[in-house]
Amino acid sequence: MSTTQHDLSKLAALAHVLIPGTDKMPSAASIAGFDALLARAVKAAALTEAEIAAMLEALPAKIDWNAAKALATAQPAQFEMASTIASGAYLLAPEVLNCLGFPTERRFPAGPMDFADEYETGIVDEVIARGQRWVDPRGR
Amino acid sequence: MSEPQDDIDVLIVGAGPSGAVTAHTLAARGFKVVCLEQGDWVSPADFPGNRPEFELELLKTWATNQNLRGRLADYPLNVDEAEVMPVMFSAVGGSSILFGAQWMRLKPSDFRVKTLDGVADDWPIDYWDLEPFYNRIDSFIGVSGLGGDPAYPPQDFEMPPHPMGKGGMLAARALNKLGWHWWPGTQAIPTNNFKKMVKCQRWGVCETGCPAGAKASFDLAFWPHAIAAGAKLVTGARVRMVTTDSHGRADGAIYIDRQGREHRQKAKAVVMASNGIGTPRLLFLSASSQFPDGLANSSGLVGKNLMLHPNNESIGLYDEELESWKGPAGQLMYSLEFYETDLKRGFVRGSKMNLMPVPGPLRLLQNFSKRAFDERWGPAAHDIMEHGGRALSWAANIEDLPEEVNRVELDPDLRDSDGIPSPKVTYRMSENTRKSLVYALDRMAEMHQASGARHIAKNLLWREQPGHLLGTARMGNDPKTSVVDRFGRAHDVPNLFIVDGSVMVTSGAMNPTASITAMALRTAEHIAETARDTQVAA
Repeated sequence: MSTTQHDLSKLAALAHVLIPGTDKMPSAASIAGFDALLARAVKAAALTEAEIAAMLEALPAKIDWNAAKALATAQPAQFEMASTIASGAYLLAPEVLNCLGFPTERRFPAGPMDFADEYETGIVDEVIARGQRWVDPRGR
Repeated sequence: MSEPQDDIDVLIVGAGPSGAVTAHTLAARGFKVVCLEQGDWVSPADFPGNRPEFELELLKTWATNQNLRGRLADYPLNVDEAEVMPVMFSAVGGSSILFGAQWMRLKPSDFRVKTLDGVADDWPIDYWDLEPFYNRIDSFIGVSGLGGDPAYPPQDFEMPPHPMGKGGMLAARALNKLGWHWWPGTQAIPTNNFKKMVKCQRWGVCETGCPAGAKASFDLAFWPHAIAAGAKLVTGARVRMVTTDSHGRADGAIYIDRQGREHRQKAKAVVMASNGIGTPRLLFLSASSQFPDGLANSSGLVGKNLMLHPNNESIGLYDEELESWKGPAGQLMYSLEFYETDLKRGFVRGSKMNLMPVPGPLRLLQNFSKRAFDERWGPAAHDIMEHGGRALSWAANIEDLPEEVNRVELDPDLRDSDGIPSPKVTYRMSENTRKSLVYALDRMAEMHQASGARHIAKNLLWREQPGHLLGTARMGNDPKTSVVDRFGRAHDVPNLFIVDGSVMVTSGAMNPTASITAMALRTAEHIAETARDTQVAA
């Protein structure tokens, strides 16, 4: 099911309430193209038409902090789905990941000495020094 | 139904880890082998982990819960009476597609819990019976790890361990301070290019399928070699029953292809490798006038004694940068401090704990879902999300003991996409398991505290983990109290073998694939060694 602009606006309104800006992080409202990210999030979540309809139906026409809080209490499953879509869309924004210091390039093959460097700190020595930690059922 | 297909030596039902090992072992020894798999090949390119929205795809398309995924290859489960959701994946490679590749052997005490602790039963084999098979599987798939763990008899590995990273080193220092056991993670994930696999790229998304093809899921680690050895693998082939001849010997199976057509595959012997839920399901579906309670079920124990290893988890959020998006996940390290019985804790047996990275920031918000609204949203949401890269997860496998009330049956109403009855799973945690669950969670929170975590979330039961399906066709020497013998041969049907987790007498607390595949190798070699001109000995 494709979401309409009206649907996306309702989800965006929830995101704006749940994710304000801080001195370090952008608000959901300030993310350029946020509606497109919401549409992408809805698609990735692979919700059925009925699930999308129920989620949108649960969202108040006008949503503020208290309305969102009331929704979380009254319809926790619908709120959880809507808030996951809202926050999931927010976390798709490259500028958000950059602010979090979260990499967008995710290949980090280890260097040949990475474990050796850890081992050479002697970190394992204390474990070995504590001696055998297994039960021998043969009584040895 | 189509005409019966050519007679073969051995028919294997299921192409997961145990089916792959059995197929390779027997094909390499000249047996004519066919494996029927209801799923398909999955390409690493299909896995979600290298897409930005991968955490959202885990909600349904790549959910661990197969009832949510809705793939035709999977069958639905009735889990209305199950506290823990069994996790499995129907494909070439089976559930290893989604496993974390934590490659742990059982400990010697696991085979003797009756002798040591007065509970459950001893196994008819011991650690040293399996040790050579553990070693050979490890070498074949390229297990990485550090030898010398004092919590085990001596063992060593094909490849060096993965680095533990900043998070692992932080936790190691904390556990040293506590005086608790830990050890660098042992993984079926290569640290160097190995056979069909590339070295780990540390995407950190092992449990949703490795997008780099750097995990020893058995579609990569074993099936190419089994096929090269001559095994035939038929995908999209859903077995609906194992058939028997007038002498009560297995003589093949009937399966349904993707077009809904039935086929008959004849065979001189049948090996069940369909996991601890799929195997009892098929044995029940194979009931006949000769076997009215299901195939190989004269003991009445088929489907009973289901063990699922309840998991729990504690996530810690830290001030320092831990690069916790780096894999493998997998386990950065494990602790067996609370593995063996200590009666002062108020329960028997114990748990295995593993430290994992947290590769996605959305999961952090989800893990703090029990917080009050004001502590999770608004400015508080940033406080949580800002810990992306600075989060660590301790999770525990809890040993659950066999109980006949925990079981797999055929559901009277639920059917798969071919109209075949689906399983109903009944699973309730015992008081002993609950105590161990609570104890382990408190200890893992203490690990985070000792490491200096700023926030700690505790999840007493991680319902949709870990996918360890054990005990439903247990091995033993007495046909009255077990389904298969010490080599996996059904007591009632001499040319029927079971090689998956069903045969485990107790669960231990280890991730079981290393043990399952070692036993499968042992069974397959026993089949080969006792056969004459590929006729399986009765």
